[in-house]
Parts: sequence; C-alpha cells; structure tokens
Amino acid sequence: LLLARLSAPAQDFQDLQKKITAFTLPNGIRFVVVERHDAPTIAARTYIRAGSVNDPAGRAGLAHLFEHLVLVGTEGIGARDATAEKKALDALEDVRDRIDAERNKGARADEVKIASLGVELSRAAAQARTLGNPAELVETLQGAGIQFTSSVSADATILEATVPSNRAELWFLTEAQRLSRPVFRNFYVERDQELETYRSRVDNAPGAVILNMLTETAFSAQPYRNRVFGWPSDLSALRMADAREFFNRNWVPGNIVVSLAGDLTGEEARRLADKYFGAIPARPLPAPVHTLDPEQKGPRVAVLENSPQALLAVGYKRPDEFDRDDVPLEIVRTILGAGHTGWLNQALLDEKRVATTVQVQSTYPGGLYPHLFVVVATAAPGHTAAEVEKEVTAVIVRLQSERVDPATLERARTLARGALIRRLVDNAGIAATLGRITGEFGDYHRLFSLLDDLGKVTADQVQTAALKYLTPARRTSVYAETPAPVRGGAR
Amino acid sequence: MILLAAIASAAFAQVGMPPPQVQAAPPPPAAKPAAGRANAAAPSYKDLKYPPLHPPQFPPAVRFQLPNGMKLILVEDHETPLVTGAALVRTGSIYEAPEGAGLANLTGALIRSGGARTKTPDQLDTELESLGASIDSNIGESLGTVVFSATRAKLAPVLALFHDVLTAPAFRSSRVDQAKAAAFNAIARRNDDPRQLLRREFLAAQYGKDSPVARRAEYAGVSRLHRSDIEAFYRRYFFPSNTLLVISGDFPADEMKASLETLFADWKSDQQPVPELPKIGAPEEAGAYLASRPEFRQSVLAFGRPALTYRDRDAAALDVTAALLGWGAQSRLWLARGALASSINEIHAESTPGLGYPGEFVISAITMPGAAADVVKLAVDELQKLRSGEPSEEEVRIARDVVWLRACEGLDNRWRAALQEATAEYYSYPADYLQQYLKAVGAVTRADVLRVAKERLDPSKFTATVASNLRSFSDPRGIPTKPIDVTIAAPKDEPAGTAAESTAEGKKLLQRGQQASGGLDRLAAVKDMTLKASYQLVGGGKDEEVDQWVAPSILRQDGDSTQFGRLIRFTDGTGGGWISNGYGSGSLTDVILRQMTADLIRSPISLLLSDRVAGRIVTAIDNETVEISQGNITVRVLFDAKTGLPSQMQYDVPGDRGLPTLFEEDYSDYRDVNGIQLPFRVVVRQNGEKFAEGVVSEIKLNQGLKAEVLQRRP
Repeated sequence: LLLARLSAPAQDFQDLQKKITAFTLPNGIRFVVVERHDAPTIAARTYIRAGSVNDPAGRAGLAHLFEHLVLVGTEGIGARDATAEKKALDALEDVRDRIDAERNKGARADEVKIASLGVELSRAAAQARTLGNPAELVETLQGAGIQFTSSVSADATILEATVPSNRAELWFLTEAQRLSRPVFRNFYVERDQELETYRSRVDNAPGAVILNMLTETAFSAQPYRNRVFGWPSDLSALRMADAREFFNRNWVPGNIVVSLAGDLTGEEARRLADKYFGAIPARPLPAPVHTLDPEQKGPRVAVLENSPQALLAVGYKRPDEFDRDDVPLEIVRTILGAGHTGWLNQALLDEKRVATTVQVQSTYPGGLYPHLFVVVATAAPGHTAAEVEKEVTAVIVRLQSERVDPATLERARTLARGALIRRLVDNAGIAATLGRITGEFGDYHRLFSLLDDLGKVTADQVQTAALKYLTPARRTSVYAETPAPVRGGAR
Repeated sequence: MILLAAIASAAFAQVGMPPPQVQAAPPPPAAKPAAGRANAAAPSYKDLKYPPLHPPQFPPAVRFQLPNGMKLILVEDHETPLVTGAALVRTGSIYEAPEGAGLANLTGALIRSGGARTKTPDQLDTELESLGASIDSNIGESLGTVVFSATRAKLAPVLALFHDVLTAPAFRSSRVDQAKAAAFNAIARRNDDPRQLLRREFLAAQYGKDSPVARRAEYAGVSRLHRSDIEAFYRRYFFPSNTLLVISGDFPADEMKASLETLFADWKSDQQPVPELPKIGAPEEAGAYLASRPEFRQSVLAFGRPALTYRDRDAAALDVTAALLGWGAQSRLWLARGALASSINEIHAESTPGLGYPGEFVISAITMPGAAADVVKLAVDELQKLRSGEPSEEEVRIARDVVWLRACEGLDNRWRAALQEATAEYYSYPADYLQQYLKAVGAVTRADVLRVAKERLDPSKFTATVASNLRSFSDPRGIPTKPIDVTIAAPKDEPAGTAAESTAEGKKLLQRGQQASGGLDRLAAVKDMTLKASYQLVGGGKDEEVDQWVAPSILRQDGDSTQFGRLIRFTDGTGGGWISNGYGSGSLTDVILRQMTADLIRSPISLLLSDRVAGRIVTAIDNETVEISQGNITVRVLFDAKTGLPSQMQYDVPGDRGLPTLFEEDYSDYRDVNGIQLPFRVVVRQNGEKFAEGVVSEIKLNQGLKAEVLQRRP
C-alpha cells in the first residue's frame, strides 16, 4: 500500500529531461547541457577528477593549490610575450633546481653558492614578472560580467562560473585554455599565500581539527587520510614542476565533465565545444588510486586535549558510493540525523540533552573510494564527548535491533528525495548536480535512477546497512576535551 | 552519497570546518597587456564579438481573485515536482505604534512558530518534516510573508497546513515567551555587527531616531508586548483582501485555482483597508556621525544620501552610475585606491531604491580603523571627478552590463521570478516594470551619468556615518562630527508588572464566569465534587468515568474503558500521585502527571476558581479567552460572550514520544446543580477531529469526600 502511493519519480522530470543534451568529444571530454532560456545567463561547472587523493607522496596540498593556479592565466591570456615568458619561467625553475641540488648536500652545502644563486633567483623572478600579467584572466572575466570560483575536495576539482549568455563564447575560449594551456605564473607567490592562510583556516577551528584527526586515525594507508589542504612542510617544498606534472597526469580530457545550464542551446554548445575544446589532445587516463586500507580490527580512539569546546566525531568505515549499500546508507543518515525528527537529534538534543548540535554525513571525506559515515556532535555544557558517544551508540543499536516503522521510513525517503530535488531549481544547482553525477557515475541518468532508488529503500535494507557498517570494529572516535577545571583559587 | 553530503558540510562549517573558498577578486596591477595576439595557436578573446543580451522572459501568470477578496497569482512550472508559494500581506514594522517597536517582528515569527489552532507547534514541525515540506513566516519593514515549499505528491496536506498557519495561528504562550526571549537577545546583540549598526544609525541620522524606518525595538517596549497585542496586530493586517497569494510549480493552474477556492472559502475576516505607507519626514542636511565601540577591529563607513524610489525616472542612470563608481574590480573607487589599497578591505557604491520611500545612494567601505577619513576623502574626490566630466564609453558599457546582470540574478529560478512579479504588484509597480527598467539601463549614456552625478550626487550634501573603535573622526569636508550613542537601555524588571496587568484582565473574565455560574460564594463553598460521565468514542468503544475532586486540588479518576480496562489515577496537585489498574500500582510518569494536571485544571469548579488556587496563573488572551497555567501545563478557556459560561477549552497533551496532541472540548447542556451552572455534555476533538462525546449522568457536591480516603491505592 505504501509503495503504491509513490508515483514513479522519473516521470516527474520529463520536462527537465527533454531539456538535456549530452555528448562526448573525440578526445573524451564529456558535456551535459540543459537548455533554460528564462534568464540570459548560463551556469557552468567543470568537474575534473583530480583531488587531494591524487596528491603524490610528499606533495600533499598540490591538488588544492589549483584553486589559485586556475586564476593566473594561460599561454594566451596573461602573457605579454608568451615565448619569452616561457623561457623566463624555465630559467627560474633552473635556478631553483640548482639551489635545491646544493641544499641537498646537507652539511656539505656551500652557503656562499646558495646565496649567490639566491641573487640570481630574484633576478630571474623579476624577469618573469615583467613578461606576464597574472591578473589578466581575472580582469577579462570580470570585465565581461562572468562570476567565477573554484573548489578542490578529496575527489575532484570543480571550476564554477556564471556567464552572461552573450559571453558564452568567451567562457568556452578561456575555459578550454585553462584546461589545456595553463601557465603557472606567480606560482611561488600563490604557494606562499596558501601557506599563510593555512593556519587560520585549518589549525584554529576545532571542528576542522577533529575531522582531520578522524580521517588521520581511521585510515592507515588510503589517501583519504591526508588533508585536502596538505601539510605546511609539503606545501613549502612544492615546485612549479610538480604542478605541471600533476596537471599533465590528472587534468586529462577523459577526466573532465563540463555541465552547462541556462540560456544556451545544445547545438550552440556543441559548436562551441568542438571549436574550443575539440582541439585539446586526448591523453591517457591515470590509474585510479589503488591503495586500500587493511581491514580494521577494532575501534580506534583519538583525543584532542584543551579544546575550547567538547566535541565528538565518530566515523564508520563504509564502501565507496558505487556500492549497492550507498542509497540505503543515505536513508540511514536521514533517519538518524535529518531535521528535528532525526533519531539522534531527538535522543541527544531533546531527551538526554547531552549535546547541543549533532550532524550526520553519510559520505566523508570523499565518495569515489571507501570512506566514512560520520556523526559529529557538540557536547552540552557539563557533558563529555564520551557521554555523547554512548548515546549515539545507543541510538545506532536501536536502529540495528528493530525494523524502522513505516512512517519513519517514509519520512526519510521523502526528506532525502526532497533534498535532492530541491537542488534542481536553478541553473547553478542543475549544472552542479548533473556535472557531479556525470563525473562520478559516468552518466547523468544516474540522477533520476537515484531519485527512484531513494524512494524504494526498504526497512530491511536500512537495518542490514546499519548492522553491516555501523559496528564497533569499523569505528573511529575522536574526542575533543575541554581543559579540566583548575581547583583552588590562588596561583 | 556525496551529492547530499554537501548539505551536511554546510552544517559542519558551524563546528569550524573551513568554508569552501570564495574567490575575492585580487587587486589587478594597473599595467595593461601590450601584445594583442600572444600565441598563434590559441585564439585571442580580444577578437570575439558579442550579441546583445535578451531580457528575461517568462510564461504568463494566471491571475484571479477569490470571493473573499484574496488575490492569486499562479505560475506553472513542470520542470521539477515542487510547489512553492507565498502569501504577501500588506503590513510591516512601519505600521507599529512607536512605543511598540518589535511587535511586527514578533508577530511575523509567531505566525508559524506559535502553532495553529488545529496544530501545536511541535505537531506542525513534525508533520511538515514528514511531508518533506516547510512553512515560514516573517514580517519585515513593509511586507509580511508566509511561505511554503512542498513536493507535488504531498501538496494537499501541506496546503491545508499552510491555510491553517495563515488564517488561524494560535500564538501559544510558551512560544510567545520564546520569541520575546529571542527579541531580547537580538536587542542585546544589535551592536555586535558593525554593518548592521551602521545601516540603522545611517537611517536614524537621516530621518531621526523615531522615524518609522529607523526606530528600533527596546527591552522596555518588547517586555510590555503581550500575546493579545500580537494577536491584535495579526488580526488587523492578516485578512483576505489584504493578501496576495503567489504560487509556482508543478500543478495545472485550473486545478490549483479550484482547490484554493475551496480551501480559503472559510477565511472571511475583514478589516478596514490598510493605509498607504506612512510618510516619513525630509532627511537631515549633510552630517558626520561616529559610533565608537572599543571592540570593533575595523572601521565601517557609509557615505551617502537619500536618492530615489523605483519609480524615479533616474533609477537606471543612478544604478549605472553607482556601478561605474564602485561595483567590482573595474570600478573607479577600486582602481583609485592607490596608497590606501592595503587599508581598504571592501569598498562599493550602491543605489538602493526604497520601495515606498526614498532609498539611498551610498558608498560603503570596510577599512583599517585609521583609514576612515581618508576613504571619505577618496569618495569625495571620485564623486567630484564624476561630476566634472563624462566617463568613457567602455566604463559605461561595463557598468550597464553589471547592473543588467544584477537585475537578472535569480530569475533562472521560476519561483523567484514569480515572487518578484508578485512583489512588484504588491508595491504597485507596472506589470512590465522589469522590462522597462532593463530597457532604461541599456539606454544609459555617458551624458546621463554626468547629468545624474551633477544633479544628485553632490558630496557636500552627503552624510558620513562611521562605526569604529576610533575615539574621534574628522570629516575631510570639515563638517563637525556628532557622536552616536549606541548604549542599549538596560532591561528593567518588568515581567512582574506585565503579569500583574494581564492577570487583572484574566481575573476579570474569570470573575464574569464565576458570576454567570452562580457566584463566587456558592463556588467557594463547594468542598468536593463527584462527577459520573460516559464517553462514546468515535472509533468505537466506551469509557465510563467517575471523577472525585476535593478542593482545592485533589483529583481521583476511576475509569473503565473498553480499550484499557480499569484504570485509576490520583494526583494531589503538587506532583505526587499514582496510577493503578486495580491490582498493582505505580507512580505517575511525566506524561500522565501532565495529563492529570490538565484534568485538574479543567475540573469545572476548580477551573472557575483558578484565580484563587496557589500556583496558577490566569492571563487574558482576548475579550473571551483566558489562559490558565499551572507548572508546565497551560489550558485556554473560551467564555461564551452571551452566557459568560465556559464554552470551549483547548490544551496540549504530550504523547509518549514527545509529540503533543491538541485537545479541544466543547461544553453544552448547562444545568443547575445546587445553584451552580455546570455542563452535562462535552464533545472532545483531537487534533481537530471529533474523538469522543461525553454525557454526564450525575454531579454531586459536598458529599464529604476525604483526601486521605481517595489517596488510598486499591
């Protein structure tokens, strides 16, 4: 009876599906275009499967640095004299090579030689600066009314833009150049800026610290253990050549999906894609990350002392998002943590009052490889992270020991589907969702089957997923503890 | 599932996760590239030609009016199975009485958070979540809104809830207290954000502190606001002919029209038309003001003057001028920072049209503390330059594009487009105002920019307002600086006064009820009461009950129901008591204790004597309703206007899982018992649906019941 009430959701999206055109260029770049002509703008997303999981050993933070590097221009944009600039940048790298070679001698290094190379270095850097204008790309886009940003996660890099539809061609031109002929001018300035912001963004936020500790403790081998931001010591050793190598290896056409939603026809998109993206040479795909964690043999615990807040982060190891249990786990997340009817919200916040916030995320820090199902909570004043964890575990045991009632299941399915559908209401949401789905699953149709699947999860599947994955042997807990109160007044 | 995970990462940011990086435009070096074609292989962007932009275009909306006067705008959009709607109601804080500042805001929040007559706040929350839907309410400066979002599959139940929230909000007292606490908190924190402080003080400097657009809520005023004020404010403005309902989404318009006609047929309240927006006085002449607070780490400044409304013929030209002067990395103020570059974090110029009254042309900036005066000087200089010669064609083109695109922002979402259309209608702008405006923007010339700058942007007439940790600020124009006192008047201990005042009204109503029932003397003489009743349940089944009450607050209930069998409950009115099935017994759980306390208050004699029972608070809600609370239980009693006797009672009973049920009881068949009028028939509704009907077979007074006897467990 309950199933009968669910209409076949895919039928709900016929209007949207009719607007979609998808094609793949001969070089392997995939396009998804959604025609929406109400407003004269286009949302563009370029998904590149190059994230911090692809950082080479000793180069943590390299993928993330591309948030800066995508802004400094290309061979065609930002060079005052492209040939001379390339020579100058090569010369700059050469001096750095020689400095490194001398430094690598350790105690036998010749400091006088290093000092004189330092002078040469500043001269080479100054020379390169006069030949390039790293602001030209940004100025050009802004002058055309194009808004843009970018983000790098564990799995991928995403370039975002909102484009006035009459400037579509400018976007195709600049984006194709960014994807094929970038010039990492200003590399060392950008790198050092990133280092400067590192502390304020990573080290000073207790929430960020415990999430970092969670992945570092949970994963022994898998790259998800590394921070997206990298390590300061790795960052300060990064070289322009590393960025070029990373780019050549990972930013290859077969790893790229472009999604466009807005005032643009599929035909026009195809024409501009052929014209600007078609010329990008095909390159072999890099091998996926093959390092997997050995089986975890029991619960792991890490403790952060002297935290300003008592916080708890719990992660359970779960398979990648291509696993058949991915959708049931999303329903598990919704039952536990969505809205004020979420079981954890009710138990921790309303009934036991041991916590003031609780959030559940089914996928962290990325989804392409086995990862974590995460619960994060802020302990209420007077309560500890361990007390909160006890209540979290009790709720999970309840989910494991009984089948969820039909009303709860139906609510969770409705909430999870609704959350996904509500992303599809404007150009930006549609482009981002379809781009990501295509980038991860290879086909935008997965969006619609996902909506179907979310509506079909059974109580059995929920219980099975909870029993299978939310177990002590798969668990890692991080407690952030506040300093113990000091007794006695006089210092 | 990473798609949905991003939602949670936004929430994770609250515990300190770094937010995704937002690209702040890096300051471009001034040098321009020399070579046109840098690389033969890569085509140059400089050779591209751009066609003109087309204006936004939407399918026509369906418009009509219901018999009760409510206007409707319906826009079909079948792209996704969602339906979104908003009631726009002509009201706002500008209509508040000066001494009641904060009332509109409180009312706006409580329409949704205070629950509906048919649903407790918790029920609303849970049901909406189960339906994957939301409802929110708000009253701003000159507009009130109640908004819903639903999926098509669950539209009908969500619309029903939306109807209840919009037309019959309940303003439950516990939520009123919460909303007032939130309002106090907002008052306490209103100086924390320098931008918020500045916006407020800028308006106050222009129009005076007591102007409808500048006045603010204070502790004293808010603490005097009472539930009845909120309900009265709601009633004054929320009526059908003062409401415009706009809905867009996945529905056939004719079906939606039909179901709205049925749904809102029962909304009949009517009021005098709401007057036009109050006129506000002429602005002050140029001034310079400083709000100094040691905890600010930066200077925030606003330098501007009142400028225009949407209907101003120069609206487009002023917007383009503002963009040219200060919007984005290509604007004059940004490019002219020079030596100040490292001291200025943000600077922009904006022309904000007022909807009903003049808006402002403002240059605002966030700077290092000491740089405020230099930045005002920079603004003065740039305004003077703008007034002394035409800008370049390229500057005007970029500015026109910026303004054009800003106007189109959000219109790729058909709901937002529909809401914008409705908002335009609400403020009486022509239906095609957006098209007209965009046309005007496209037509702005270099000469227009020079003309509006000369006519309307004289920096000597601007007002400078600075929020900073500086002790002094010297306006480069030589205008003496006046300090702004941002001290927040300390809260006084007013709750006692408030309670006393409301209790007086409540007592009056209750005393009228006592009079109608037979007089206080007779009621007070009742020492105990035995009541036998039989309840017929709608779903089948029967419940026989004997209530024994001993003044003032002992109650024992002996029940025998087809559903539960025998059940005996006892309370001493102070938290003690027990429950038994005749064989064994236990102490009262929290839920049952609350039910018993509610029953105790409702027991007819006890109810009428509520003003004489220690621990009970009696509050008037309106001319016919009192609210009686004891501990954490509150019941509302409606007195019949004609007879003065209790005719209806409402109360929430918490369920096992914390989900409360709304009970309503209608009393009738009043009969005389020893000179006292008591009801012999009661109809019980649960969450708005009839649940049981009870007939009293016998009421006996003063039988000599003893508390010690009743207290004994069977």
